[in-house]
Amino acid sequence: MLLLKLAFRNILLHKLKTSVIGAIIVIGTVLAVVGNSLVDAVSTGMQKSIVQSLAGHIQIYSSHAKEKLALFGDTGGNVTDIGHVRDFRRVKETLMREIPDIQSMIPMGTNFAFINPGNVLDSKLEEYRKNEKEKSATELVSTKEHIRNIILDIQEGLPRIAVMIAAEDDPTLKNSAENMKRATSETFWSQFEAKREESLEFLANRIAPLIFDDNQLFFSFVGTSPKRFSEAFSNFEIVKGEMIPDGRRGFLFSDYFYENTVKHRVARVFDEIQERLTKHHETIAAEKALQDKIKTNVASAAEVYSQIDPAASRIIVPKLKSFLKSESGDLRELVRFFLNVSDANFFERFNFFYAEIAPRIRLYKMGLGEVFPLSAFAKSGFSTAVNVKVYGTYHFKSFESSPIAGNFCLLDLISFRELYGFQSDDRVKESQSLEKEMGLVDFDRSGVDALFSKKDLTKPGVAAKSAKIAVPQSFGSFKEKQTSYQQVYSDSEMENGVFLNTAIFIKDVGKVSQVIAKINEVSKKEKLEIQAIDYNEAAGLVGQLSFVVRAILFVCVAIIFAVATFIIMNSMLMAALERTKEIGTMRAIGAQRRFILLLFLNEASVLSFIFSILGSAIAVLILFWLGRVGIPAGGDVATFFFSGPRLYPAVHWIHVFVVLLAMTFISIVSTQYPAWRAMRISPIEAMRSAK
Amino acid sequence: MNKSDYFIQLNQVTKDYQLGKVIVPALKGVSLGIGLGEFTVIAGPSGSGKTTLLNLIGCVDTATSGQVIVAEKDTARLTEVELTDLRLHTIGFIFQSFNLISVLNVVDNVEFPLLLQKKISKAERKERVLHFVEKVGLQGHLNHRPNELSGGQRQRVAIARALVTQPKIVLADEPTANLDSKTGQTIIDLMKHINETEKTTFLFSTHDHHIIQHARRVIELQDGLITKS
Ligand SMILES: Nc1ncnc2c1ncn2[C@@H]1O[C@H](COP(=O)(O)OP(=O)(O)OP(=O)(O)O)[C@@H](O)[C@H]1O
Ligand SMILES: [Mg+2]
Repeated sequence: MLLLKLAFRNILLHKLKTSVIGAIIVIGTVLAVVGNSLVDAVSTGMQKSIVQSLAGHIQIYSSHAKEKLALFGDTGGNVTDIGHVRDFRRVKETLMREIPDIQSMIPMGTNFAFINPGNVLDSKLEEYRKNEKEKSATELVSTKEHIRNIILDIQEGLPRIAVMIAAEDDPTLKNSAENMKRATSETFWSQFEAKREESLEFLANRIAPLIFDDNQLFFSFVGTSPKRFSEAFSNFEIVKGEMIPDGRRGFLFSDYFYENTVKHRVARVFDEIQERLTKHHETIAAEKALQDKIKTNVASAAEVYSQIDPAASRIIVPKLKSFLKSESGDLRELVRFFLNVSDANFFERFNFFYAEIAPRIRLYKMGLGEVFPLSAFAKSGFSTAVNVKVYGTYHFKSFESSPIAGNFCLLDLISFRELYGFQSDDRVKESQSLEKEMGLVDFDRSGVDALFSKKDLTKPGVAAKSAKIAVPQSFGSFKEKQTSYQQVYSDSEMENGVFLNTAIFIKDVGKVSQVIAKINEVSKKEKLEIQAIDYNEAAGLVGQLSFVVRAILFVCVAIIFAVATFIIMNSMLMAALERTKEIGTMRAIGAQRRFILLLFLNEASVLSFIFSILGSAIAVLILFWLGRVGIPAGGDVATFFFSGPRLYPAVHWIHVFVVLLAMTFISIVSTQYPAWRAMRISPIEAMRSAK
Repeated sequence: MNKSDYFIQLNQVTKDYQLGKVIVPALKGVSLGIGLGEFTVIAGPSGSGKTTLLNLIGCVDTATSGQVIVAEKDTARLTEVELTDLRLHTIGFIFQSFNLISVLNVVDNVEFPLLLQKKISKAERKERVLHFVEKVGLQGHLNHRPNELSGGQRQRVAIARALVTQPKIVLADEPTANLDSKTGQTIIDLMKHINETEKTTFLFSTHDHHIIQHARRVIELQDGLITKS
């Protein structure tokens, strides 16, 4: 009682010491409690993201894998070499029979792919062939005129790219000056219809490569059963187009990739400016970055007007003229002027762009419903290609803007196996003949190495350049060939075959480690030659992030606690020295050393108790508030860690309890030395005169 | 008087202080006895060893040689804990600079040693505290804290605190040194009055001649030796 009374009085009356210690305890408690809750929220958010966006609860893959499975890529963003497992059906049936906890299994395989959708000239040449087949004469004339205009554009830009052409060791780029002369000569165009095939081949092989517009798309994709995938990953959602019909081969773009890479560059700049003006309340006038983007857009005007064909141009020019109140009747000038937007006219032009211009250009390098040759590296290291139909785009709900969750495209497993190098015998023959006809050149090893070397694949430019050599140049002709993409496959065909890895969902999330142990046991017994790992491990680098975040928090909290220890010790030591006479007096009039020790410990405990309760209360209030309004994900990447656009941390009472204990503990520990010093104060100190 | 009749007895006590490498002899062989009920002054010039002598008698310090016997106990043979206990139960202290506990009010300061004693009931504590606070004339300042009191009032609180445990002896090292002479005189009168009414033994040091005149017995110290007893 006396001790507590003294402790309280000392706390009340030594205001400076109390507020210093109080402040550090409150800060420490708030940070520790809030920090822990945030990290918990982030790590559960991340777990959810990982589980719900690709991993499932457990991943299995070959026990002979050369590298560890890393679903989101390794440090370099590359797909790791995990080998393959031969027979999905056997693995599935064995595991489902032996382990009733398993809910579903989705076979998968990840690979990198590239598509060259062809540049504007390629697509116009293709359109010309199509029109010719459909015998639409007027269209034919218009397309021919458009092709001629594009060639004039190329010629105009030739001096600018002369250096690049010289640097490029590409046979198709040799003699470009001469080739241009031929392509712009009157004789070439007067004989165009007569020497049709030769002329088209010439333009496709010699002139089209002169357009350097990085059209090559490079991305990772997951081969799977689209149906099972969409059912198991409950956040899966089709955004544009349609779902791949069950049993059909097909391809889905990740919507994030489709919007941020496949979309027309000029449109992307419009989108970005619009977002930054509306969401982030920036202005063009104040943001240098936005001004730069607009400058690039003006410089890329050709990518807009060269895509507008003469017929469309006759419609759009007058509209642009009146919209811009311009005197000029030249499309190029109008487009350049149009793209030079400012704060005053941005939204008006943004709307005009999507209403009038977008429908007349190729807004996406690859349209939905179109068929493309998808090239990838087989397990042998050589590139193969299959024709795939793009059905649509998808995303995971609440990860719409995350570049991690769902930043892979989806392909049916049958086509994946074909690309990977496993296919039925008739398919082998069929695709061999196809490749021959399409003029697909196999990669030589150096080309493959260049692509598989640890280059940063987020910069498609690097990869695209080396890949360019391998891309079929007679692009326009493949559609006429037999198209395997139309073939249907049966469920058993899908099940009877190779997979690289498989996502497993289990019924009781708490049993992950038990099921993993069981899978490994069954695999050994039944010689399935698989290994099982949990979602966190399967996520590779991304999975370790949650550990890293926690480690960072621990370090921060440790630092705060260390600072708190130091401050408390210091203040209490000061208190002991200041109160030397008082302590001496107590000792003289009969207080034992123990009493002085307890006096200090009591004071520290009461202090830490009061202020850590206060700190916890503040922390809990902050968390309640954050739990209601949520913390907005600052960037696109954050949505993955937050498992949605906002993070809603919750109060974990165990954290509060642990932090209270820890705080009391450190204040008692840090008072040991000051208390010991106080205890040693001699009663003689009481006798010393004040002087 | 017989040797054992003295409540406090010193035999050939010396006390040396170590000051760096120099040894300062503060007491050079002091023998004296103090009986119960005495009202004795230790007088002597500055540096003569008055404080040193009181510290030894008050069991807050130990002698270099010789015997200090307090309440029939040889203090050299007691442990730290036992010495503290002896102080708590048999000795009252009054200090030159009052030494009240700054965060406690008058009542709590006076009650403090009773709480250390533990065994005393709440009712008795209250009664005794009030008795002595009244005795020193501070019944009107029960809830004041030391910094709200004058020097004389503070010393009165200290006297009440020293008396509340009903010690056999009260030691006071220059209790009036920090007070003006008039206030000092009233404090000495108060102590003398208590000596007469409560039969409490008082032993205090001073070099104030007016006060020395009031003493029944004067022990004179000079350079660490008793010159008159
Ligand atoms: N802690 C100490 N260390 C060293 N020397 C000391 C110490 N305390 C006292 N002395 C010395 O011992 C001698 C006696 O000192 P003491 O304080 O007992 O004298 P005093 O009679 O009380 O003097 P005053 O009237 O000034 O209070 C002095 O010479 C003093 O310098
Ligand atoms: Mg003295």
